[in-house]
Amino acid sequence: MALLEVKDLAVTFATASGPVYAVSNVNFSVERGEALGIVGESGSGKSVTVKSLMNLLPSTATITGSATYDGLDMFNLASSRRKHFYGVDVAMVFQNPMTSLNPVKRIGVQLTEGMRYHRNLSKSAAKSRALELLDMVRIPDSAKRFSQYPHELSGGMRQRVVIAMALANDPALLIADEPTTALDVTVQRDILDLLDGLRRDLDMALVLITHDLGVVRDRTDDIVVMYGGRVMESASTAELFANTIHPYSRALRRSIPDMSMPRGTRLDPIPGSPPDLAIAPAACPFAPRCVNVDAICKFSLPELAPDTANSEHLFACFNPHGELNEESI
Amino acid sequence: MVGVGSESLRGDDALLRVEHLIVEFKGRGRSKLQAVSDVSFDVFAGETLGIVGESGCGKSTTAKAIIQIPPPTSGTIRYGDTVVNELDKDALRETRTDLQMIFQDPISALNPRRSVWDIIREGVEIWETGDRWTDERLVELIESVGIDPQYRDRKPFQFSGGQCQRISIARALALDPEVLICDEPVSALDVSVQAQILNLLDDLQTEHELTMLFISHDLAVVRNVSDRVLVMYLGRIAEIGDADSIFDNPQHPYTQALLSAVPGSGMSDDGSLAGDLPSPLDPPTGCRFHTRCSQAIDICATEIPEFKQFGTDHWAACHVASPNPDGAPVNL
Amino acid sequence: MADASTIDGSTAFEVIDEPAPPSVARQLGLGFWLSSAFVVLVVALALLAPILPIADPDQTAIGGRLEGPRPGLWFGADSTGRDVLSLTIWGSRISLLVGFIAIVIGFSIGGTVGIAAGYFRGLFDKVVSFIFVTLLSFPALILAILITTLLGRTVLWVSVSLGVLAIAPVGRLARAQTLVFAEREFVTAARILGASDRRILVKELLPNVVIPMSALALLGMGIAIVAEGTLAFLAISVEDGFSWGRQIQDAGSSVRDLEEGPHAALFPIGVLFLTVLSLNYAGDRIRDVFDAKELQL
Repeated sequence: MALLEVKDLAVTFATASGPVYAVSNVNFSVERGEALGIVGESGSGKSVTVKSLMNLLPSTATITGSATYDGLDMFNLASSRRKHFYGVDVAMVFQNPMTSLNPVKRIGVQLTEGMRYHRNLSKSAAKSRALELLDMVRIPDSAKRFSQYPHELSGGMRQRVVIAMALANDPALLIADEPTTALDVTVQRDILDLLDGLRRDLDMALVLITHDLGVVRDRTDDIVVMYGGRVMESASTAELFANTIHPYSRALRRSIPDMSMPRGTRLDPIPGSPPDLAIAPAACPFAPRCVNVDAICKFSLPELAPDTANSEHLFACFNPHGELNEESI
Repeated sequence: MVGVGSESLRGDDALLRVEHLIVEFKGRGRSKLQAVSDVSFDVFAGETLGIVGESGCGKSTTAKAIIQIPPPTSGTIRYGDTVVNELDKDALRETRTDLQMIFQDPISALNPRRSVWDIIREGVEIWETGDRWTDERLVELIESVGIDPQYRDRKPFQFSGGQCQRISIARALALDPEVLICDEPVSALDVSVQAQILNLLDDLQTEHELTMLFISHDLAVVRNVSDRVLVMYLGRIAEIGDADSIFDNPQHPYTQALLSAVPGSGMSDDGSLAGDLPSPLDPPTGCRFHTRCSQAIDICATEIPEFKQFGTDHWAACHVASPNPDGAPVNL
Repeated sequence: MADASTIDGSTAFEVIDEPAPPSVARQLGLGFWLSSAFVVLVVALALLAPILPIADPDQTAIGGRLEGPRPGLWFGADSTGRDVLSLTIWGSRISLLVGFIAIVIGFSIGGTVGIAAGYFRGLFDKVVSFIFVTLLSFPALILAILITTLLGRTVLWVSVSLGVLAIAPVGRLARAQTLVFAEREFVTAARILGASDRRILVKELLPNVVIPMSALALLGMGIAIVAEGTLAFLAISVEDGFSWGRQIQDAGSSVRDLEEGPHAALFPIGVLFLTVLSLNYAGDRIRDVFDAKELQL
């Protein structure tokens, strides 16, 4: 049984201007010790998906479907279990380290708080564990950092502290939501390598949310590509890059400039704007921007189904290879 | 010596020439933050100069200093025959119309309470160029940046980020600028939209004969648009010159590290950066990069490196890099 | 709207898929419209008082002493038999006028100075901020007493004294709002386009500052009306006029009267309360709806 299993997840927000269908029909699973990348742009539903798992959605959200952690129903946790679930079994790292840290509390206090609450550690035991964690996330001079405030650290160091906090209670599942987007490229790789190394060392499952295919390419076992609140394609990372099936995934890969392209290379953009989630999902959300669009795409929802050649490779598209005759518009 | 760091300048017929630019900000108390320290470069008409570096390296400050926002502490900025930093208020206002800018955050760059039409017409109204920029031509301009003119009465919040960036571009073009300064124009946009804007800028550059300064932290994007590249580190130029030469054959260890950090670059980790960016309030002595440089030697900590030439148009400020290592061909 | 014609993706432009947003009127909500209706009613009655078929507010013995409400004498009578309804309507004239003038003074001075300080910064900002702080620290009541006793207890000077008190809070909000927007890039963009300071202030900053300010204006008017009532209660408000405050003071100053016929004080208190509440609520809704909508995120 997979450590995390998400089935038919859908999230709808009630807003003043009507419902917003942020996520629908999302399915994926993560094994212990494995890394899953969820790739998507803004509005793809990737962040809402993990926030629903972390119980972080506002009360205007309606969640349907199921998510199980080690067989445990995450949406219906008993309150006694819930008290020591988030931050213990499942932990999360957010995009902006500055907003995850309390600016007026010392690093050490923030690090030990969670441990002392969840595990009743003594002050000194918590401190030695905190120093161990700071070393683990490769923060030099951990004893000094322990008594510093967040503003005394660089962005990369702060994100390391946030990761250390997330690891404090040995979570079996770590969710990282765009953990490097707010950081410089040079720091980005260090943080990603760190997460990757920690996952291996601690045999932890990692869900890495990003908008950047390059970020997940070398660091995940599986990839889920989301668009318009739905899963477009999911496969093992190697398979996805070797055999990209969905027109959106392909267009996304093509539209990104590459270092190997000579200067002035004409890019191949995806026309149009990201979809509007206020419209109930009744057609493929990518249809208005898709090169392979066909009549059926505009009034019917493609199901996520396995590829004939590889049953582990799922995609939701009626016309992945543009074989259907495009009706004249 | 005279003109440290200005070796890369290529003669007098540059459209834009920045010499010994220094920009300081007042820090807390009496401290001073030198965001840009003695930076010189030039841009020829029709060229695109990409400026890259980590956040806080002074790349935006450098570009904004050209249009005197804020005015630099010292240095000369020449635009054609005009010395921009010596202009009085009115002359500056007029010269700036030639030097327009687009911003990183497309939403923040548009007044939320004004209609798209008003926003794009603003320059025309200020300079009373209505005879040249008739409503008809403005509508064409709006179309040419990819916004449907029928939406011209809408407010910015009714558009997506990419569309707002298009509107921002149209606003700048309505002044018939010579130079377009693009400050991270695609980094706030969705990946699928980035390419649209990059292609649009490419088209408009040809159509309007624009000279561009393109600031970005994304090397792949800079590679795509730039004829020349300026790599900055902590307020100083690390490497400058022809884009192909720099990207294919980076000489400064910092440039090498930046390139190897690009996801999927396939470059080895050897150039990986040790540690964090030092505080710009107290930059390292000598070569500012020496604290993170894997190749640093003793002299790096004490002496500011001079520019060495690595090609016809390829300069790097590094003690270690040698212009002709192992007899590798250098096109001089 | 995403109608069929925009789904085809073949249009050269980006398609704006937009669900019909609920109209502004609906977003403002029923409460806003009820509040506004009440304020409009009160203002209309105040304006029309001379031609309304109501009793002369000065005429005594229209009803019995502290006679309770009854048909024809809906709000009852006060201790001298005057019509409380008529008194309340006539009293609204001075209350509303004082509130209005005070806010106009506070906003024209405080708003202008605050916006200028937030935009130009520098020494001017420092001086202005110091003046605001000084004004805020000065005991409000003493300032009002000072102005009215030295210059006269007329509608104008009572309004001025309340208006002066409004300058500092209004100015500080205007300054803070301006600071927020002056840092946004559209202001830089305007400067690069060549817009003059004046143009930036009027075209770029003012429209953004005006909505939160108008919400504050409605709130401030409510506060000024209550403040006038307080002054009247202390017998330092308008001398030869009749406001809600004066009316409440008349009716409420005698405990015996209050016990015998509380309605003479309760009706004007109720109307005053509802008016101020409506002004505040309407202001709040305006700010919520317009700010959330146009400045999203």
